[in-house]
Amino acid sequence: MRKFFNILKIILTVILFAYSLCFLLFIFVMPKERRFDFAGHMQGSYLSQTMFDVLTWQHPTYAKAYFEQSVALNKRGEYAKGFRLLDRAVELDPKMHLGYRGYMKLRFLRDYDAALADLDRLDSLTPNHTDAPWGEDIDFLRGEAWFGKENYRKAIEVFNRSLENQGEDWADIQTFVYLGTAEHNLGNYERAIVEYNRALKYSASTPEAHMGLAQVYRETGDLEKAREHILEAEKSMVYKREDSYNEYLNEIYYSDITAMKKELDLETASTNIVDEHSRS
Amino acid sequence: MTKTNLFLLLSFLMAASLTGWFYYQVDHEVGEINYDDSRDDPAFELCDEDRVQQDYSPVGANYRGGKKAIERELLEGLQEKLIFEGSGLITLRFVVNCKGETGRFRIWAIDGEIQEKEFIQEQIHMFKTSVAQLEHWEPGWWEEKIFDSYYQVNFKIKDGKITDIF
Repeated sequence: MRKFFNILKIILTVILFAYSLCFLLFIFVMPKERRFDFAGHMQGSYLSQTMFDVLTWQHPTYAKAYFEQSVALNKRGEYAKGFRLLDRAVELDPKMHLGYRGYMKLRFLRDYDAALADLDRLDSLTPNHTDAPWGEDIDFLRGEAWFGKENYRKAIEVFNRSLENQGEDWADIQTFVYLGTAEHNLGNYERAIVEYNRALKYSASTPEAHMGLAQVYRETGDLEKAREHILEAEKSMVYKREDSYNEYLNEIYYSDITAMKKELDLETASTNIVDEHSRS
Repeated sequence: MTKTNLFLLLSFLMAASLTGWFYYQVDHEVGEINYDDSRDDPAFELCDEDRVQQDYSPVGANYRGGKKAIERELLEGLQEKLIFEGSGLITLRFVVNCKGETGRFRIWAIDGEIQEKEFIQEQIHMFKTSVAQLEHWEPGWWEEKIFDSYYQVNFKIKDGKITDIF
């Protein structure tokens, strides 16, 4: 009986050691690509962060691991830690990670100068190639950065370059909206109307373009057209441009439409009163 | 203690510790905000402490009118009282519970080089109380279930002035 228990204890010991060994193999020994994939799928968990720490400790030049580890930190507002990792990824493989860092500086930090510096550097590293950081045309992103800097002339120049890169049919429809808003902000009402209408030519349900037109027509005194477009904007709000991570520079809300409708009602009412007075 | 017993004990302790460590690592996430009695209001309660959604998830909370509305409501009041040397970004992360109340505020500041920046305690309080006054929260929901979720607001500062809230 004693011998039986001793054998049982030995079997249990072996199983428990094997179990622990599996953990250690999983964290420290498995091929780095498989650990990278696993950590990527567990994005945001402490386990994922620990596995990336181990990977970068064992492979200090594994740029992809620094990049992937930075993602959850930046999404959740821990920018100092996140960008430290991302900077290391860029240092090791600038062509691969500069675009993402530029995109992050634009959309997550709204640091337009820093975003432009990264995007320009990426462009200089890839001559004869149109980059698309994080799936968006590099000149669309640069246009957005210039728009954020309120340099509308430069924004127009760069957004037009994006249209050349992409071809008008394939360009992001918001390129036309930004062009319209930039022209509007420069006081070029006719150009703004042309650009907003170009957006509507490709998609009649672009609420940002209708909103822009409503604003232009209101400012130029065509309250009827302004009203028409604000109602169209309201109808197409389900297609509005939004992103779950951050607010876009040209994002619009139902509350903007409601506020404008109220203002237009007041202006229409006061115009009617003036008309009645002038007739009497 | 015989050698067999010693090895069995050691293997058990090792397996138990690794299991506990693994569970902890899987169960905790970057950016989670747990109740801290030294700084959080005990009256602020969550509907499900174990399932606080990320703000970017489909069931994350929103503010009526978005960050633009937050900027309209907060900018003037904060601008007057802000003490921040140079440029950078202040990030306030907090929880919007299923009743549309806010609590468990955490704050980080970075400078223009994206390095951590020290922040005066009174200023932290000012940001928290300002955001706590916002009233139009819309908690995320799915199939009649309403969720608690995180939310974060960034305050961009240039030369000591808030230039953007997003």
